Amino acid sequence: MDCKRFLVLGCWLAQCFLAGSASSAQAFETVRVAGTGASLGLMRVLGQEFSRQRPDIQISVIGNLGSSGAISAVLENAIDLGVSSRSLRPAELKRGATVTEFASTPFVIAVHGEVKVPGLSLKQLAAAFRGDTAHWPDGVPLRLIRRPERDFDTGALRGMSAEMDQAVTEAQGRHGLNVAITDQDSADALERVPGSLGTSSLALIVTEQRKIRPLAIDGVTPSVEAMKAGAYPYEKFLTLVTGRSPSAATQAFVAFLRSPEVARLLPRYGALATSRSP
Amino acid sequence: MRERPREHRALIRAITAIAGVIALAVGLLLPVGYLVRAYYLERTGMAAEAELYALRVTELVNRNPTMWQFELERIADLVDRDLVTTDQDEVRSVYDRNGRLISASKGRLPPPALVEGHDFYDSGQMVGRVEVARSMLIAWQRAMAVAVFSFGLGFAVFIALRVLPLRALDRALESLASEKDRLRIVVDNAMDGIFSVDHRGAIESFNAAAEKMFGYSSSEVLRQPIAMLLPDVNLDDFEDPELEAGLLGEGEGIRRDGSRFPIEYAISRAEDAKGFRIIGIVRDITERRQAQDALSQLANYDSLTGLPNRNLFRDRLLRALARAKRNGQLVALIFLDLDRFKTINDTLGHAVGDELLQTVAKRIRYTLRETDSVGHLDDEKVAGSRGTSEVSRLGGDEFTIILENIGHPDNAAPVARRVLDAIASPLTLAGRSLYVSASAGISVYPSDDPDPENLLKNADAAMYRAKDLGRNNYQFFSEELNRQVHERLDMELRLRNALANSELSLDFQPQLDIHSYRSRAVEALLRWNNPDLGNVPPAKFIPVLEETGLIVEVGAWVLETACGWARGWQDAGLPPVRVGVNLSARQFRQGNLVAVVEGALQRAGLAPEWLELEITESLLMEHSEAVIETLNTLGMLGIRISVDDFGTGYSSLAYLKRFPIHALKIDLSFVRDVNTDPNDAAIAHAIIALGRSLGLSVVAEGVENPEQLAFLSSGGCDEIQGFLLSRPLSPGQLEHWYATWENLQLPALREVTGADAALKRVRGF
Repeated sequence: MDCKRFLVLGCWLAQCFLAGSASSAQAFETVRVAGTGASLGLMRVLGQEFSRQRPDIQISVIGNLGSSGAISAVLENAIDLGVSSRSLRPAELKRGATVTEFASTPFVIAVHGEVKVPGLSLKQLAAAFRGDTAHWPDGVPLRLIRRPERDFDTGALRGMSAEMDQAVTEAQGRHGLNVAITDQDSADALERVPGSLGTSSLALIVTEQRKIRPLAIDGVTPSVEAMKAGAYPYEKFLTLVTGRSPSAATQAFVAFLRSPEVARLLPRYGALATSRSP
Repeated sequence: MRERPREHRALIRAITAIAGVIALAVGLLLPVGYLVRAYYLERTGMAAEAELYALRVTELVNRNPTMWQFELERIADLVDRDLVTTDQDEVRSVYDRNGRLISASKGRLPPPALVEGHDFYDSGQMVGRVEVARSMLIAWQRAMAVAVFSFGLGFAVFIALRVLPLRALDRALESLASEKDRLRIVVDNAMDGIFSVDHRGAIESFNAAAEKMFGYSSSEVLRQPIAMLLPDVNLDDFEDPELEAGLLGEGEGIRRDGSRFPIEYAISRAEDAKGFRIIGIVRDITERRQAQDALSQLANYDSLTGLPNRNLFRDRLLRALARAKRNGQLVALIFLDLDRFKTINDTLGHAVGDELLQTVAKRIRYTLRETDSVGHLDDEKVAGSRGTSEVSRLGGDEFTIILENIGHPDNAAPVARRVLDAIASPLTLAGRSLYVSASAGISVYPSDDPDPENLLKNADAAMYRAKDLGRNNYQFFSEELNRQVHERLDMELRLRNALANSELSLDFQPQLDIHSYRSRAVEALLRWNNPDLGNVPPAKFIPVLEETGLIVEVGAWVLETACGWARGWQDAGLPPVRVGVNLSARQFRQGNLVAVVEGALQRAGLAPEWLELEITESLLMEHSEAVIETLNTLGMLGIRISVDDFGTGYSSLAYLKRFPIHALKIDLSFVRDVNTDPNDAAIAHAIIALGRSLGLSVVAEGVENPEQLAFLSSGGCDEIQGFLLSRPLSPGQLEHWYATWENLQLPALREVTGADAALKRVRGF
């Protein structure tokens, strides 16, 4: 797939070379995409899918700007499409940001691939966050990967239970914890650090093929199905954010993402199309 | 507590101001210093912190140069993370290149706040700035706490700096005031007068004793000059700042009624801001002085006669000798002893003897007073000096007389004579007529002996010689003096009879007019031929005539005789000759000189232009109104007046002009060496020049040789007189001299002077 992209790019460059400026009319249209870390892998695979259908439109996933950075970048016209895991603020809406429902993915507690524990109860999880549980049963130290206070994941953890809220507060005050700024940082840390425990999303693990393992919470293993059935209550919503006057290509890509075809594809990638507000 | 004086109030204000400033400085400096330090530390810390954050952001930018500003999560996490520990509230903000806020850390920022920033870069290009804003509220709160403490400290400092010195000042003032009170009590109750005077001499304070002493109230004398009370106090004596001990002395005070009284004073100088003041203590010593005087009277005076006793005599003799030594004067000491006093005492009793002594004392005193007042002790040669006499009783019948400044030893003789004569006049005591005489011995300081004791012994010895020589006479201790005095007395006696005995005569010396080579004037010269003494030189007998006053009578005779001769020659057919007559100062003092001159001219029938009166330079120097008037009158009569012996006195052009003088006669002492002594030549020249400038004739006396004549002639002298022309001649000789002038005198003169040219002008005589 990447080879083809390079081929296309090569052809475009050759065309530019041969035809000069007149060739711009036949060039690709690029839709620059950025957003919350959970969505990046998803956007790449869906972008490839879309480009297959619309070779004239290239989807460029820029990187992990986070929800706020993506919204800001859309409003600044630095990118064409943002993916946010949070709702928009009035000021952002006032500046012309438009929100479109897209998908949700299970919000997961994940561990290093070699951790043997299949799942934790909320109580155990709270103990781990408080620091009461310092080792896994096999003796490997339990290494907590913390997220910044203002990050969605921290709020999600707090929302899991009152005890968790308290435990997260304690964890935020603990010194010496590994802090991951972005979702990708968190996934990287979980992959890298033995005995680590942190947050992630199922869509990220699947689309980026991460070697980390989501834990069952209170015996429920996170999956699209469990989420859809309501058995697994922790989810992360992904919404599409566009500017005041999105390009046709952007609009086409948004339409594609909202299409039934994509809705069908999403469970395969650990996500579920949504039609309601997050 | 006493009220502080005005000058101290200024001091207090100054102390308060200084204490206030220091206290305020302490109160402000600590919190301000704390705040300044806190700001400095915060600012440097914040600058370092901003740099640290900027470095982090720069890393982030370098990782994602195009979209870094949208990596809000990372930037937020970055600014949320506390890289530096501080207890102040702090907000970190990240701005893009355009100053748009990208992210800011959470937190409040209560004012006041400090902001420090640092830029961050993308490959060296500035793309934004990190700002660290930190609240200084806590620093201010701490500064306030420090201020509370420091103001407390400042207050303590103020108390220490103001209250303590002022308390010390008050104590010092209190002590000073009480000291002043004590002093005032002492001053007010002192028996002595106490006053103070400022540096200009104005009285500042005056105590009760001084009020009583001088008769003024304090208010009357304040600010008045001290000299009105104490004329002897001289402020200049106190100008010297080194004067510490003050002045002690005695002087006079002046009471309100103008009466003077003796005082004793102690005056000290005290420095003050305006210069100095003097503080004096005066004591009225009238009573003490009276007691001293009484004691002194007892110790120094003879109670019988009231004359100074031996004790005081010694003292006065010492003083007289000291004065004489200092001034180069002569002192005569006369020692008197009554003749045969013991006999009187033994026969008539001590009471009569005492009375006799008292009478003798009175007579001596009276005689001396007369002598002093008529000026017998005058020394005419020493202008302005005057002799004084002092009589003492040594004891018994011995008296002494000190004669000061007698001028010449001889002058003691007439005093002794008069005193002896006074004693010798008859007196009546206890109903009996007594004839008492005394003998006197005279010694003269310093010739006889400079030592006072020896001087007294010498006078005593001379007195015994007088007794040996028959009593009622006086003897000098010096034989030479005895001889001179007796010779003079003898001469005086003979001179008194000289006129009557026709022993006096006149010679005439002709004068030559150098311009015409004619003689038209002669000078009359007095001659004395005594049968026993022969021809007596004028230098010997004329002073005696002067001293005895005989000069008046003799002078009149000279005038009369000279005028008579002059007229006689005219009658005899000789050409008229002007006759010059010397006048004595005594003749001027007589008061009738004009009448005497007029009388002489009238009796002789001589026209006044043929009389020339020659006066001395010293007479001119008296320049009394009477002399000027007499000379003017004589001048108006047409009589010619010349100044004799000119150059020996101290004449000045100024007063020469005031007198009606016709001629100056150069003293022969200058003419004598006029060709050998440049000084004399210069003086002669000067006199001639002076005479010419004043329009006076100049006559040179004592011209003896042709060289002198040549000099004087070339110098412009008008007339000459001297042996070159002729010696003084008797009237008969003079007639012959004139008669033979053409044939004898003129050729002779021509021969010695070789003055042919001059002779050509001569047209007979």
